[in-house]
Amino acid sequence: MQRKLAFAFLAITLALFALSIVLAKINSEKGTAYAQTVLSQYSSGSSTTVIAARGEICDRNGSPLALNEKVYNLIIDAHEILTNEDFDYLDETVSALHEAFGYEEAELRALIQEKAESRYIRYARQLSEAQKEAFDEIQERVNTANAAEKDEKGKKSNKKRVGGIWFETEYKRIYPYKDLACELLGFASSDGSAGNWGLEQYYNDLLVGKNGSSFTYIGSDGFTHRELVEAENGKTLITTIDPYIQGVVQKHIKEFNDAYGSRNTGVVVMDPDSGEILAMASDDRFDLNDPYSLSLMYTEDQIAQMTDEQVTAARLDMWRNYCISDTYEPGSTAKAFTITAAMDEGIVTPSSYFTCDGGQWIGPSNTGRYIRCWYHAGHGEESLKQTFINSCNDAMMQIVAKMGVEKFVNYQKIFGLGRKTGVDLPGEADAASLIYHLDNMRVTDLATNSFGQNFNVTMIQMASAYCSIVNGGKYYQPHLLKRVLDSDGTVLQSNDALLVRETISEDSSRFLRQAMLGVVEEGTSRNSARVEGYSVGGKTGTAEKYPRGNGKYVVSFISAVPAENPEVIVYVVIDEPQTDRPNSNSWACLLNRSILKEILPYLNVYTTSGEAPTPDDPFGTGTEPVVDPEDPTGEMGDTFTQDDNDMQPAGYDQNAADEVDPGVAEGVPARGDAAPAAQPAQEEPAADDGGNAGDAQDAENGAENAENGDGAAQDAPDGENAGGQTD
Amino acid sequence: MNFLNRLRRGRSGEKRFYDYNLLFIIIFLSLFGILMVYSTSAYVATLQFHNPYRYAGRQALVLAAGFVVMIVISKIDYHFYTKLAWVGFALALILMVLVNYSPLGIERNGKKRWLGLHGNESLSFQPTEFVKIALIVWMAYMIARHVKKIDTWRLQFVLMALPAPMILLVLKNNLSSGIILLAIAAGMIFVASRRKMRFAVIAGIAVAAATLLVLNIDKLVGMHILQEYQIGRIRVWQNPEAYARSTGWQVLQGLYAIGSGGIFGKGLGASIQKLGFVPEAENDMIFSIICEELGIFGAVCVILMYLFLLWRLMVIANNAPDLTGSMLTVGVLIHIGVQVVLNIAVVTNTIPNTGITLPFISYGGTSMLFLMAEMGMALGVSNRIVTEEAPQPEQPREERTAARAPERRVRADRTRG
Repeated sequence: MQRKLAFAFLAITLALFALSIVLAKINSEKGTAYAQTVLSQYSSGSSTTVIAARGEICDRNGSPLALNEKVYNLIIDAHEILTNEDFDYLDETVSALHEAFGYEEAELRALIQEKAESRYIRYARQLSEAQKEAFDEIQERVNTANAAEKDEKGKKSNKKRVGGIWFETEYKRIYPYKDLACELLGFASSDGSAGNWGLEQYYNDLLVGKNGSSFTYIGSDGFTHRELVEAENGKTLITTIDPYIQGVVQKHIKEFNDAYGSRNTGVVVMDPDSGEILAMASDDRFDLNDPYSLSLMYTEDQIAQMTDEQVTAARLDMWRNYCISDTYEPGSTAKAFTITAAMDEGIVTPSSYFTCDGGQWIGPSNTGRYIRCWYHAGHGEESLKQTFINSCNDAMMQIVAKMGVEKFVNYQKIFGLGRKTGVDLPGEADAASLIYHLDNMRVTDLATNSFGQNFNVTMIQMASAYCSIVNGGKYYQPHLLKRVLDSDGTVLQSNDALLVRETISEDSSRFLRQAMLGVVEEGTSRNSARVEGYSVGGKTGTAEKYPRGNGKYVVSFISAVPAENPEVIVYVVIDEPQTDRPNSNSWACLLNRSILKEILPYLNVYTTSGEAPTPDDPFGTGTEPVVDPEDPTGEMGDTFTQDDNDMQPAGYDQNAADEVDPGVAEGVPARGDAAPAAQPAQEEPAADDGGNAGDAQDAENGAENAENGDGAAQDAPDGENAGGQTD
Repeated sequence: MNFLNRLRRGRSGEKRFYDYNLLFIIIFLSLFGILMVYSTSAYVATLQFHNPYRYAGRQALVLAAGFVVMIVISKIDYHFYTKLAWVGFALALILMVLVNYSPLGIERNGKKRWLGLHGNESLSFQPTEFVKIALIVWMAYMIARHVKKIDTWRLQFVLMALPAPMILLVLKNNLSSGIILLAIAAGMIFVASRRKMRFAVIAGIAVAAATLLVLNIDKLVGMHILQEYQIGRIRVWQNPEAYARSTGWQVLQGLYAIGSGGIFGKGLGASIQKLGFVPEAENDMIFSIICEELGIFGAVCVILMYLFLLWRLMVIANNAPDLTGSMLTVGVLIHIGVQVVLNIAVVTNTIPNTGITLPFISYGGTSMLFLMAEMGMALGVSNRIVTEEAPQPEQPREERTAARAPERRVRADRTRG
């Protein structure tokens, strides 16, 4: 017995030894391949991603401007359809798909046969809930009917079923207001993982959620289980955008552009007490739900004629946010910086008086240059406030001459010029290379800079700086994000006013508010910017573009309402208005006014008279005479004759003196009378219509020509050289 | 210690043997089992029950109970329960009938293997585990009782024929347990008998039959001899890659686990395949995860531990005071040995897949309890071994009549008194 037992033991030992050999063999022969298989099936494995919903972007009241719709991807499990042991799926499934979605049956069959082993064929994307339900209904109906079917013997005979189809959830980004705030919002990629332009791009990290996963495993009971790790949805952004104001702004930009057109038109509406951007728009419009379509900007014929490169360029231009990405010379609006800086430095006081004699010699008498005020006859004796109201270049030059380069450059820095404001949008320009710095600013640069020429700014820089000028000197960071909420609505982050720095004193601020009120009440825009019933403060700006002398202008108007304690700032910039008087900033004033008229009652801004203002529609076609763009008299060369009211938009007044306020350098008297000028008629008592206009324009041309001759870069015209030539 | 002294010394005061080597190896293997059950099941248990200790905890509880059972049984004189061999035999038959033909039988995963009340399945158990013990005890009893005629064809036929209905009932739903029962019965007869040729011939015929069966499975399907699922398993065994996404999944994933382990493995707890890829990783397939985590080295160590256990059982069988004790231990040895070989063979796809657990290590309540009971029997036999020539213990009747009673005297080098 012992020997037999030993034999049995030996047999078992040998068997175990043999199995050990098998183990070693598996490892040596297949080890590497199996190790790779293990890693690959672990990483891809049986898990599928559960896509997180992208966070919503809401307006300041919490209504969504960008939200998500659940959509479904149709997945065909060909392996299941062909190999299911219990049911016959192919026929009924193919016909159900045809019935529900209209797919070609033959094509479906071919696909299923071709990919017979595949368990995951994504056949269709972004089906709606209704479409999915329609299919589910058919499946339910067919399967119930077939299951109930019996043959003669009463046995359930029909094995045909609809099956092997499932739906994968995905989210589709929806922008319910289509083109509203299109440049601010930007658009998300189709899978919701990335944002392009605007807030979608800037806050992409907050907006994208964390995908969950669903994976299958086979439990100890032998069945397949599905485990779900929930997706973490993206954060909700509450922005400062006011959809009503944004809508008003976009409507009026469109009306202006439909009536006249411009190269670019930008409007920024801000709350000066917090830096919140209520609205921001340019004339570029696109439907966020179809952001690649150019159809809102071009006609079909135009699009059809474009080359691919042109289409790409047109798209990039359309998506680009003019208000933060493009720079221009601010013109006379910058005079506010000069005056308040000088007041804070004690160089001038509200009681200071200046004498404008029509121009100023800059630099040494032999090499210097004579730069003219736009009003060649000279404003005469004027108080500090009057210099602002008259938009007097001469006085500005006198002020900065006392101030010196160092202080002036310092104040430009304080006002945030030449640096990014940090607004929460991608693509902001800083214009740092387009302003003068301590090491390269010469006296002529200082002189022209004093009234807003020869340096570049962005709209958001100007609007933010003006906010601080009218609110008592507090520079708040301009921003669009108000609050961040998680998907339950809990506030995670609150973005209240962020005070960046103090710019000017309250006294200077108060003075300038009064001066801005004066501009609208009695100054350069008294007829085109005033809104009945409200005390509107404002400042115009006109800058001729490079190359000077070709009659292309950037006109602007910034308003603060109510002037005494502004609650809202509206800044309008029109780049190359396609009108008969492109240098007339009344276009900007009028656009600004039409916006103010609609938003001031909405904002419950306090009125002076208590009367509700009557809305008007300056660019509409029916209510007022409109300049006919095709009118030959509207051409630049004929501006001398343009002194009849019919040529003016409604509300335009010939007495709007600053319409010709180019505020530009006028330093070339020798050539002053030679060139024809693009100048609207003026009825300033002291001004000779033609002469004045011609002088102003020509002086500019002269400076420009000199500049061109010098081959200077676009950003910094060289006044000294110009002066040298002409002297 | 009083406890140990009492283990060592019987009532009559003579010095008794107690196989601490066996006890140690049992403790080692079962604790290692808890470790591996935890390692293999923590992930899935967390997903399913949010409790990583779900399986390991239950295993520990069952083990504690099983340990008590083992010690208690080891202190019982095995002659007491071998007298009840026929009772156990009848009970086993009844249980198998109940499982197969009464409402008390519970079907899980298409296999009717459990007995218990419906709706209260935590109290269910697999009677096949009891059948194994009953068969071992009955065979030992019968062989010892009829040892004179053990070499006759007639007795050998009777010893195979009587449990046959029971074994067939097991085979109906549990091929692997049926094979183990057959191996136990045949093995015990083989060890007890002096004949060799007839066993060699029978074994040869069995191997030939199995080969024929495998070569002609298609015909067998037509003849309805094997069930469909069993044919499927043979096909999978022949080419698991062809069924990678269906019935071959388990085998193939187990092979991936073994193959990716290398010589020293990925490290304890570092298996990837247990993360939902190898089904029943804590149960039938646990050896594949041992290979993945501890490598060939760890796997061979485990195999050596089993060999050590079997060797201790052989020593006990060889030194048992009488043939009954000897045969009891032989039955246990064959059971454990065959089960280990079958399990590893299944995991390595050496034989077709059949659900079989790895003794002491796999998760499973019933099998663990009965396994510990069997170990109690073996320890009980070892405890009857007298190491010092003291007053002669009372001789059982059958031993006096045995023609070739096993050596009663224990060789000095094997005693660990």
